[in-house]
Amino acid sequence: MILEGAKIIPLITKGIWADAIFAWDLLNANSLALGMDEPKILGDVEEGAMIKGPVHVGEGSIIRSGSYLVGPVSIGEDCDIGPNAVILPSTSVGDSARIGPLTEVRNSILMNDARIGSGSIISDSVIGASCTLGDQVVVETGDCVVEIEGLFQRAEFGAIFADDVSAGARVLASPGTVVGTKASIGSGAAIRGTIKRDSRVIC
Amino acid sequence: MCGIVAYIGEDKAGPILFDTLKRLEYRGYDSAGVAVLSQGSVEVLKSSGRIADLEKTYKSMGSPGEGMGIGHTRWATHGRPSDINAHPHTSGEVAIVHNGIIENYLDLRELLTEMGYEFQSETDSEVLAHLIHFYYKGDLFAATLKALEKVEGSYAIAVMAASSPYIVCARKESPLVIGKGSSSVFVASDIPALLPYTRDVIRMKDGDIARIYADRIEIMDSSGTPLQAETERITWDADAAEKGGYPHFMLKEIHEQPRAIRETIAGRVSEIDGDVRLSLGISEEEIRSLERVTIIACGTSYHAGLLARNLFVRAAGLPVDVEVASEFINLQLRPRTLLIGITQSGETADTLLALKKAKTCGGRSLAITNVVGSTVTELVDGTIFTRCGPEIGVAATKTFTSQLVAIILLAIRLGRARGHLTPDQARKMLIELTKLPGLVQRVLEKREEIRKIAEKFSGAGCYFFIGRDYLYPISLEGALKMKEIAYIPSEGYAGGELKHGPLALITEKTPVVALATCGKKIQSNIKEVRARGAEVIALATEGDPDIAKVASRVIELPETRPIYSAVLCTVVVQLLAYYTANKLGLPIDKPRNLAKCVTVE
Repeated sequence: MILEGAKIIPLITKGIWADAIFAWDLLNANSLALGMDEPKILGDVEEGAMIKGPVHVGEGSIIRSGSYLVGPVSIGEDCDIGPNAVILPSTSVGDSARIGPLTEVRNSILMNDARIGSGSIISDSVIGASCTLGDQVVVETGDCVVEIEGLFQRAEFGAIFADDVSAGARVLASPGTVVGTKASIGSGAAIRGTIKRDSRVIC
Repeated sequence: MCGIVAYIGEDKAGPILFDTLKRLEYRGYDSAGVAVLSQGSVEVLKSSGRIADLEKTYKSMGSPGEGMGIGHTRWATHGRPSDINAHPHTSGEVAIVHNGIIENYLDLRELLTEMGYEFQSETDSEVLAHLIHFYYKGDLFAATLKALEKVEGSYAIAVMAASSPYIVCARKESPLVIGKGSSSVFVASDIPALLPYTRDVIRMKDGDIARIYADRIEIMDSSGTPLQAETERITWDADAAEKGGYPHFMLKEIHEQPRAIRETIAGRVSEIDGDVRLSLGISEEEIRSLERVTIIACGTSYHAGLLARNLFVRAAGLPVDVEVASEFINLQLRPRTLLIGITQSGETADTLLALKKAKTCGGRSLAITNVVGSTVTELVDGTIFTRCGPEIGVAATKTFTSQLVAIILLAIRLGRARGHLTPDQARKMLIELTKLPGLVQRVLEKREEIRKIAEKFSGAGCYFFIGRDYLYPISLEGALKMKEIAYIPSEGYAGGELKHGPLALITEKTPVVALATCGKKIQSNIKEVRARGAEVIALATEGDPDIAKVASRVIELPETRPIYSAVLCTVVVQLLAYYTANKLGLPIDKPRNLAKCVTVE
């Protein structure tokens, strides 16, 4: 950056510091940043939905009956959650996202317009903007080794879906799966490692 | 830990209940009570203080009651020792005594309050009395069965009602035995209480529930299906039984550690949001604004404080000063300092005095103690109880490991409140913490291996314990245990400090215990002492490929986080000291010149 002429100024901070080099570092940074603001419920929470801890629900969003949200969680505007969805700590959801019935999301980031179908389990993952994941998509989480530009990095997360990815029903992602922009994954596929942008996974 | 008894038969219940309770006093003794059937109603007599005093009151009332009653001796876990918090608890004509912890009592209490029940005490046990009363429609057994379905946690209970011809007993994870007399039945938490009356005993199993008449006992499982109970003839005497079959209280208490840790954790871990529930009496805002922690403690508790020093800095970003209470002179604590006093008994004179001095600087204060209602709890804003039951052996064992666990819980709470730990990091730590009791059990099963090593080196003139990071406090604790009960001069050292002097003391006659489950650096320290010819007993993680190359003996411990391995290493050094002292034939439970609770400066 210095070679490119960027100007760098030193600053002393007493705040919390988190390095963010790789995509999965976002999860930790998101986790630390959540709960710093005063949470407000601006959207509609139906009767029978349970909200615990600091949970923010943006304007126009609806949390349907039977859903269980444990903060720190932030939900953007015009989202549709549930019924009977479970959202666990350190989850941030962008605007106009949809999380289907009986789906569990924990320690993850969902960007704008992302959709997750029914009965899915997503943890320690990043779901890019306008991604569409089908029903019963399961992301496993745990230790993994990820190849980035020829270098191998040790990490611990679920999966990273870039923007505009679409996945069918019953897709199973192993820990450390990274899916490139606009990739399309067929129903029933078990995916692992890195999937390049625009690629199609048949099964 | 509490003790419960019950009697039904031809004799007057009162005197028998008092006699059996006295034999359970080792399980706790801060308050006591009995309920007896007297002229068609249940008469309750209870107070804080010793059982003998209560018995005098009972006699002065003219020894009321007939042949049915229940009794309790208490060691407070929820609510301080007081007349109202003492058992039995009553609801209408139902009276119960309870030993254990009801984990969901807050929820049940809310529910019952909504239904119009008024709560007298601060205990978790009272909810059981009301719950059974709620279901009681003439069949006490069915009512108890229904109530227990709603309850989470551990219990041993005895229930009676004025209009019921029998007593109901049930147990889950807390002990309960039934003794058969010729025309009477006795129930107690432990066998020795029954031995003067009968030697025919039925041990109730987990989940069993029993209906007890004077002339028969009906035992059923948790669904109400009748079971065939096995009667056992007891041939040993009462003195050995108090020690639960162990030759010394210390060994018994070492083996109680999995349970003690479970009790310390019980009801405090919330996995779903990665947090710990502790009532600290300090607001979230205040926790966030803390800048330092000062810990004051003595002896073994001081070593627990040292563990907090490394842990708090990593988990909560808080630097910690640990001070020996009797040497505490710093009266210039900064305003945003959290003061923590650690004392098993809650009565340690040095710690109390230092806490009082430090409190003059302002700031918030906490205590970690095992005794509900002790002096230290009056002194501070909030208390974390270790809840591991009374400890009788002078050398602290289970109370130390419980203190370590309490410190870990506190560290996670502070870390979460200060935003230093993410919910996910905390959740993972907590999941592993709940596995710790099982791991401790696995370490206990290595006792034979440890005994052989201890006996081989019992003639040593001097012992060394070395450890780094989280294990440095444990090396001090190991050396202290060796000094306390085996009378062998011992030194605990930080691994890296050896080369700055004490290495000169190491010869081929000095066994060195190396705690090596936390980092690789200790291996070079092991090599240093091996080069001087000393025997090295290494405590290492299972499957550690390098340790066998450097140490002469290896005790393998289950794999876990370094911070939790401190607890596992503690158990090993306790057993090592115990078996050494045992081989030397020393009075382990009452070492010379020492007292359990030090109330002088």
